[in-house]
Amino acid sequence: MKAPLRVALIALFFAGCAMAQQIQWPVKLDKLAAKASQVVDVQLDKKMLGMASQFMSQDSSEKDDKEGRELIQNLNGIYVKSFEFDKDNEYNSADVEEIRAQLRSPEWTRIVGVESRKDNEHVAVYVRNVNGKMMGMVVLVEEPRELTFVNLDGPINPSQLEKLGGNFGIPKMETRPKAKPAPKAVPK
Amino acid sequence: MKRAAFALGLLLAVVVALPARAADKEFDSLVNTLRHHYSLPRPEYPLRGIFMGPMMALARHSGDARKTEVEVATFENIQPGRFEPVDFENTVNRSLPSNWRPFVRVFSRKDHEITLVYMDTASTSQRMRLFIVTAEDNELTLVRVRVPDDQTMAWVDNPTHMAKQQAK
Repeated sequence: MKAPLRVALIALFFAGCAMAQQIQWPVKLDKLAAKASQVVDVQLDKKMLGMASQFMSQDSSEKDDKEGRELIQNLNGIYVKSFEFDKDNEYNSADVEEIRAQLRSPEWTRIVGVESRKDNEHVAVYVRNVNGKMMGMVVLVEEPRELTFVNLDGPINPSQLEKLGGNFGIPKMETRPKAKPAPKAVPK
Repeated sequence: MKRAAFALGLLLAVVVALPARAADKEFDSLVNTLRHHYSLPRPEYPLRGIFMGPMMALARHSGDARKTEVEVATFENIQPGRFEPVDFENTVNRSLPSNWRPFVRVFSRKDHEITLVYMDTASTSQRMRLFIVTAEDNELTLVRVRVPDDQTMAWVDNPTHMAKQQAK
């Protein structure tokens, strides 16, 4: 086989593998947009994240800025989709099943699951482990009038996760337990 | 004498403004495409007036003014319900060169608003360039901005909010 053809085939194979690891957004969920009162769609691929990090202040001495830059430089992409509805139950659990099915593959593990019957709210956090490293994360938030899907593709350092919350349309996350308030001094 | 000085000043203003106009083909192209596609009235260019235009052009030539490089066009008094989201987005995508990549799309039926934010992925300058197109019920605003260093993180952190602020 000629060398250029071999190279092209190898490249095609790896491109195929890379695509297979992506979470595919179900087409039928896009149809929800017609019912939604608001749709927010954020898509930052590696090139765009690279551009954004490049423009961040390079000489900044602030730890947060440096960590933020490092974090987004390593990611392959940040994808956020959020649907808001005027009425309850405009979508149902089956609509989201296509995403959940993809997250049942061996690489993905559900690390957080919150089911609130009171608020009828379901939150699930999935991480993708490859050779012991966290290589991706999906957050799925289902509320009666809101559906949010966050996909962080690429290597993630768990200690930096908190920095992403509140940015790029990603909900705020708290990875550390809240400090207990100091006990009040009892007057003698 | 006064008349000659005024004429000279006007000539200088025109000469300074010309290169800036030439560089705005990309911006004007999108404005014209949307205008013809939706049969919109003539747009307003708040930063290209007889006074603001030469001032902005002069500002572009001076170093520190690049911090505030911004181009704005607005269409007002549009018949409500003109912008269908899919058609609107396709029209904008077709008109912008491929180096402009969409990264935020907000479609709000509640507020009758569409916000599209594009990033210039071919930018060789030191600052990030963004194109923000906001369609409301009876108003359409186009903003192209070179984001100053001190605002880059704010844009990356919350592009939707910043785009809305910029477009107002």
